[in-house]
Amino acid sequence: MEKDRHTEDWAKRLREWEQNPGAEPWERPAADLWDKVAADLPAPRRRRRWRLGGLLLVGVLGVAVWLFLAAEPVTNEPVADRSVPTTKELPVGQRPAAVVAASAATDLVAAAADKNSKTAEMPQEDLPLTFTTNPSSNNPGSRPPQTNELVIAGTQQTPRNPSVATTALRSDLPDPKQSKQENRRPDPAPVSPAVKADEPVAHEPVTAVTETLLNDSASVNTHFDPTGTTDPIGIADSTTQLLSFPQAALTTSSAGGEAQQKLPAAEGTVRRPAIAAALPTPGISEPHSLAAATPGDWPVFVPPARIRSGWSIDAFLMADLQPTQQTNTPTWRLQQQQHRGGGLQLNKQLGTRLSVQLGGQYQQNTYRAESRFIRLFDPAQEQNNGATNTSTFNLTTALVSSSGSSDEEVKLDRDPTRPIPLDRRLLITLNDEFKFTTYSFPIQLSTPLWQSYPFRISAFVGGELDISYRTRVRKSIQVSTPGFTIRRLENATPVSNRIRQDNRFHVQAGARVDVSLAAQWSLHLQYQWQPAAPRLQDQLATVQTPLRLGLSYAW
Amino acid sequence: MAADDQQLVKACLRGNPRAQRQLYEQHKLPLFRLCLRYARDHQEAEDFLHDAFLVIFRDLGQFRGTGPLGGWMRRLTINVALQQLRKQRRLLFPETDLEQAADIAAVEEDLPPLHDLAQVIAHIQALPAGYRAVFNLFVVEGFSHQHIADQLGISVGASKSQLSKAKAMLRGILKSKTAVS
Repeated sequence: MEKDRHTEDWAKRLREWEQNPGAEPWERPAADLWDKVAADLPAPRRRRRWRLGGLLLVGVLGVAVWLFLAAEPVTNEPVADRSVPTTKELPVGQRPAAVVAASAATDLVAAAADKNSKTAEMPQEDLPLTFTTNPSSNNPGSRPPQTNELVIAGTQQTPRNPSVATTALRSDLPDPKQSKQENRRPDPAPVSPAVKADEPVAHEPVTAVTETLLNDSASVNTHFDPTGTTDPIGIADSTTQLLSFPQAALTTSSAGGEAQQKLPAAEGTVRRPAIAAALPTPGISEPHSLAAATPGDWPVFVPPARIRSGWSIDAFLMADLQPTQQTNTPTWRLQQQQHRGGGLQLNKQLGTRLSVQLGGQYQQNTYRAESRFIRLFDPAQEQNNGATNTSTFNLTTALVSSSGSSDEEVKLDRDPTRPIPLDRRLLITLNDEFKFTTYSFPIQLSTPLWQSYPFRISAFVGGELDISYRTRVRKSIQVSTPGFTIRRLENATPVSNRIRQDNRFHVQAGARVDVSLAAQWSLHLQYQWQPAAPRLQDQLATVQTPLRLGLSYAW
Repeated sequence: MAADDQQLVKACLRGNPRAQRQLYEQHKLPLFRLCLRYARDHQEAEDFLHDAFLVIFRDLGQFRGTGPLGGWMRRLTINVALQQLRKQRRLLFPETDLEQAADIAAVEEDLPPLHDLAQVIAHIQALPAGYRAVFNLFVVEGFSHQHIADQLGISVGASKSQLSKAKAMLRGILKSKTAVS
């Protein structure tokens, strides 16, 4: 349809009016419109990128610090190897109050019950003095300091009077090897015989030790009144509350020799809580978690795969559970064909109730797109190229996003000897394949909901950083009218592979089932819900619910 | 693209607020006039311009510099205006088949001569959204019916029909105004 004279004039006048520099008030936007635009403009991309990167970096560093410094790894190491020093290694008067309480509680109970008959039988000077030194913190090449040795500024002296005795605080630490060996002894007799203060002790200078921390003898003596004369009942009550079963059991059985020999003991009294007798004997490996007070408070079962260093790695494949996505308009159609994905994820268990996951994953959605264009054939617009006549049609596909489009030019050749009527409808169909690829970096926190070996169900929440790309592959071009051949298709403005994403970080939540297969291997199935997932086209669904199946290895 | 425009675009891409303001000031008048033709009133035209500049600044990185910057911004503004009309569900087109459209085209008359621009703009704004969009796209932007049909997702016949009705309505309004005056 050709434009008539007045229509052309309207078009010309209206276009000129647009470019006219002068403007009446009704032709001008409000003066404050720029302020509104500026307020809605996003921050500069570079700054946003830096801010996002900075936040991510801080987050990752924070998690790393948390993992490596703050979190105590879950272990199945025997309690005996991790416990506080046993009584035979430390003199009662030199031990911290809690340790003293733990080790001597049973005797205190006995002493409290029999305090009138057995008081002040043993003066403090008669208490055994055993000083242990952590060999690793001293000169490793020299002989480990022997018991009853006092280390002061690189020399050794034997304290003659324990009330003024000073010792390095590190002597409160046990010799791990020694305590381990001793704890495993079925014989409760002490391995290192306690040496009395007035017994002669061989002296050797220790030159490598340069640091000496002195204990105030008064403060030492106030920790505990071995005679039980000050307030034995009160102490006994308070220290009994401090008891924990394995330690009490250890002190009363393996190290009880010393304490029982040196502290006043009441004949015929119960020397330890009845339940302590039922506890495992020292030296037998038991999970640390068994330190709970009663069986009812014991933590839930932890699968073997989760109780080593707390680290595990998952390798997984993903599938989308949503129905096939498609969107249609009169001129184009988009249909999802395939979804695939996979990735790796590193997990760190923090205790038995919490774990953190960091990973990287890849997802690719394939869509088939069909764009249809109807054009009317006009021989007057054809160009003659000798043997063929060529028609040129401009096509605009608004397929990729609502604001983005692709301008293309298709050239159709025909044999001039075959006549085609004017205004013959030509249906041109472009078949494309879009691949929408997203690289995601999720970080999640999960907690177990229910577990019973070999199963474990957990829930997680988190978020992920998404980076998306798209590619278009032209599969075919079809023309409905016979007699035409497609000569050339040119992209005037090709589809950009870069995806505009105003928000790259998306939250997610889900549940996961783990099935332990072997000591270190487990299989997992994870369902995930993601409300604002990246997508190829605005009309496509924004929610993604991928299901993933994977294998985990723990160490 | 002019060198000045190139520098301005680069500065805008760096997020320079002064450059963004300059780009706005340079192009606000022609783009606002364009918006006036697609909107039903001054307020809606401001909304279109606001959204258009947000899209322009968002997509400025995709401007390849092969044509004039003003043309690219104009095209984006038209897209935004049509998108807004679509969102408000005011772009409703009755389907008309090609034969009916051909009949409409055959009886079509020319527009009356244009005298008062302000009045004409007001009359264009008074048209239903579908008529207004097709009228602007065909008469002012110079798009073909096929292109309009592709752009709006309607048939060519519907596009022709909308244009014909828009012209008839404008003729009626202008004739009645002339008679009154």
